[in-house]
Amino acid sequence: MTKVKTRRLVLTYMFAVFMSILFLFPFLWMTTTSFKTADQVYDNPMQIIPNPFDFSPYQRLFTENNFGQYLWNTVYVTVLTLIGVILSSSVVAFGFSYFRFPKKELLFKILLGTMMLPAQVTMIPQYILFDKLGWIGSFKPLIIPTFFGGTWVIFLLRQFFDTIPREYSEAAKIDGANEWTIFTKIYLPLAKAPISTSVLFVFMWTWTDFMNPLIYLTDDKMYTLSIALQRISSGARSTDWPLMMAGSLVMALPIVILFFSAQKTFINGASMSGLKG
Amino acid sequence: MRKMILVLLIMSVAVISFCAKEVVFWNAWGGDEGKALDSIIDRYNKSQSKVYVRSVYVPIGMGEKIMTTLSGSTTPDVITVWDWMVVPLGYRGQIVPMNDRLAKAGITSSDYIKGVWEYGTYKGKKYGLPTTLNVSAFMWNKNAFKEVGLNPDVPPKTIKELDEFTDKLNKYDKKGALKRLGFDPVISHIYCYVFGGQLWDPATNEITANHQKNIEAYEWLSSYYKKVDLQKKRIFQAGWGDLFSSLNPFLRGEIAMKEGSQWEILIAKKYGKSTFDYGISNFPAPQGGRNDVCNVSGSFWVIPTASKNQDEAFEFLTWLTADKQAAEFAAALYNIPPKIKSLEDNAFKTIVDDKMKIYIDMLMNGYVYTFPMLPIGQAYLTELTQALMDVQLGNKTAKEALDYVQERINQELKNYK
Repeated sequence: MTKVKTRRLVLTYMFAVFMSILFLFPFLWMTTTSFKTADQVYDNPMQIIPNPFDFSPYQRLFTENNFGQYLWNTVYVTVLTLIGVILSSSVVAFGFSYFRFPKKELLFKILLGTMMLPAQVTMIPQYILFDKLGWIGSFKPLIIPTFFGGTWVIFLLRQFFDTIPREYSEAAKIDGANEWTIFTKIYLPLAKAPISTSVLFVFMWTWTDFMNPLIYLTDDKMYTLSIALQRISSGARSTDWPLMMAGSLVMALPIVILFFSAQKTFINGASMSGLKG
Repeated sequence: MRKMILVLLIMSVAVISFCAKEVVFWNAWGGDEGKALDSIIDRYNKSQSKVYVRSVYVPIGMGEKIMTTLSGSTTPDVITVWDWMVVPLGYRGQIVPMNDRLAKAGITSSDYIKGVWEYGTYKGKKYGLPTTLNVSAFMWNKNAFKEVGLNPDVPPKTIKELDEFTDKLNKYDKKGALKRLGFDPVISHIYCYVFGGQLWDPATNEITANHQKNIEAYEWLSSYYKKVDLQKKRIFQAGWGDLFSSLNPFLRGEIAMKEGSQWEILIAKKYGKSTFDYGISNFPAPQGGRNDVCNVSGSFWVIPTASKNQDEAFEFLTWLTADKQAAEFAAALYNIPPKIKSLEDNAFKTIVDDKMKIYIDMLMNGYVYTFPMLPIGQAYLTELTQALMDVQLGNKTAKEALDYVQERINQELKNYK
């Protein structure tokens, strides 16, 4: 390796390290603040490492602030949403990709058109609908609609299914496979990467969703983490920053873990489904 | 068999009559304020067995949940809303007027601080009860005054003095970057009243956007746009920290004079350095203007029309807004209770110091006003803000801009007769 090449490599790494520190700093601040006492938060000059370490914000989070319950509610809604969205969307995406039927493309465009509707426009009609069904104040409006497909996931999976050579399914058909077998034995196993991408995105959206739980839940024992966090922060004149940061960390951690553990699959999925050039 | 049925019937009637009715209350406060309100509510629940109030935390935000819920059939019994939401909700029939119930309960305007009773009222219908009051006053940094040779104990009394002080207090570094802003008027409608104008005429029930004094106020406000280079000001303000922290720009001396509410006393106590010294007074006013203007804002408790327990909800609200409870809650929020007797309650007195006294004095003896409560109050505010921007950018004169607002809002109001 020439000297110029080595120097360039060193500079690139230095730049990458610098940028990583820059992006990691808020996360680091959040983590260390969650172990500080209230007095240490505004220390000037700022102290990164808490002295002394205070674990009481986490204790208060799960005792006084009932975070265990909120965490369970969030896990419950997120897991069922994931099951609902992935199961239903993959079937719909397969239908759009595999079958030939009249006005297929028009129907698909209408489906995509629903993505263009801002949530604010459909919020009240949807609320009235769920109200008439008697679902307000339960998890039903958050979970049941997800079993009717998610447009974004349908789009993503159809893009991928379209790239699967038709020969695979034709060969399977000769061997006696029906459409369901083709879907479950050929399409789904091949779609691991785009499904992982979908899982990651749907997980992030549901885990951090604030508006839907806020609108449909009426009992604060059923609240999800995002509303619980808002509750801590909305004591504007007396915000308990260590508590707030402890809550934020509890909320952010699953997303971070999921992202890093599924990073490879996620990037593969994104490039295979045409999301990445 | 008959006897058994009779016994069962009597038992079920007894059970039903002894069961407390549940009143669902949307509490908009989190943190310590929320806990304070919940403990007051707990006391109510323990004090009687007829009604059980279930407090649910629901942030108001921009009213997304409130507007959506009120369009359905399942609503809570008491909701906390911002003041600007009260009349639009009342006009649409989504919340109930309280006049008859208030009269029956013997609650009258004389219980409330002057000018506050009309707050939340439109065309004689009173749609809600104010939770606590938020009052704006003029604040100045005494340390900054000393630094530029001004008497730290004497705030500007006139608009002319305010302009002179601002010029003195604006501070730049050697490179010409802004280091301190003298004054920056933010709540522009305050100055319409300070100049002697008004935005609404309660006598004729008409808006008065293009009142001559409002035009003068707008001309003066736009002069502040030219005092400091806009780009420099934006760069400077981008570095300002959170208001609820020691990075608060007023506490750090980054702005020398400002509009400030009574809860900022607590912020200064909590986050200000021991050397930080500041004063509070009425707003400076021009000759012929008002030197006792007191702007009031806040939130309300309202009862949805779809509530099935309106009487119980009102009974609870009567208790919650009674002198003692109002005093306790105002103290927890560092706000001012809306009722006269609450001001004398020991619970509130715990937070009354010399600085808080200035706010109370302004409220009791000043010219109290709230932003006009109209079915299209927010649209009026948006138009006024746009008008000010037009004047500042030189697109329109103050008269042209406010004439346009007058015409536009009046036209719109015709749909709300």
